[in-house]
Amino acid sequence: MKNLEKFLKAYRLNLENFDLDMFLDDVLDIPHQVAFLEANIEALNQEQREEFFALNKKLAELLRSTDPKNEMQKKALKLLLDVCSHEVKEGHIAA
Amino acid sequence: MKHIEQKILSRVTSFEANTKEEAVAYFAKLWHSRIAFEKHVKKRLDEGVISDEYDYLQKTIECLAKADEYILAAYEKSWDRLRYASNGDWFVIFNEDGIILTSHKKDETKVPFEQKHAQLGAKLQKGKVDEKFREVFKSIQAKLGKL
Repeated sequence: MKNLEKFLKAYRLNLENFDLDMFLDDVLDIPHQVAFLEANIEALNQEQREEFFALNKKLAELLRSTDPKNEMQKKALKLLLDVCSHEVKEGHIAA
Repeated sequence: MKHIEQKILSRVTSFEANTKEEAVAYFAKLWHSRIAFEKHVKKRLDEGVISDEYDYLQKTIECLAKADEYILAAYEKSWDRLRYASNGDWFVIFNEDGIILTSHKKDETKVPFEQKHAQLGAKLQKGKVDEKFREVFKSIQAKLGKL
């Protein structure tokens, strides 16, 4: 499915450019991308599924290693952790 | 909102360029830093929504020249963001100092601006863009068309 590839690519690019100073608005798209891919996980082929799990693992590492510099970044990180906690955990296990 | 708009206009009214390279160099100064600008260019290239730096400049200016709606996400602290949209397919977001934070194409992988900032506690205010604001960017667009 073309849409799945598009979401996977957007998620990948957001993690490659994960920077709360320069890409905060883009970073805030991640929960939507994770939720869409999670909801369509059965439609992902094996390769896409492996990439999704690897990206979830990378997201978990980024969330652990990123220190927010202000209240807005702190709120954004909390939002990501709240929304992605299940997926991040699942991805961590699967990867 | 008006105070942010004035700051944006004060940063672009002196726009002059004789070459595309000069135009891009001026455009880069509207961002936080040259590095921020270059990183956004790289990401939009990777997304496949621009062909080069100059195309990014043109798409951004076109959005502002045709912008019909703005949304202000106002925060209690100093994080205000002002978003302009044109024809619903391209967005430019400024901070309260009139600096470009991002400029991107609309697509279904992105969360709507208002939803994103409401989640973070912003108060949203929508409105129609002033024709005088558009005129400034139409004039820049015309200059770019001659390069």
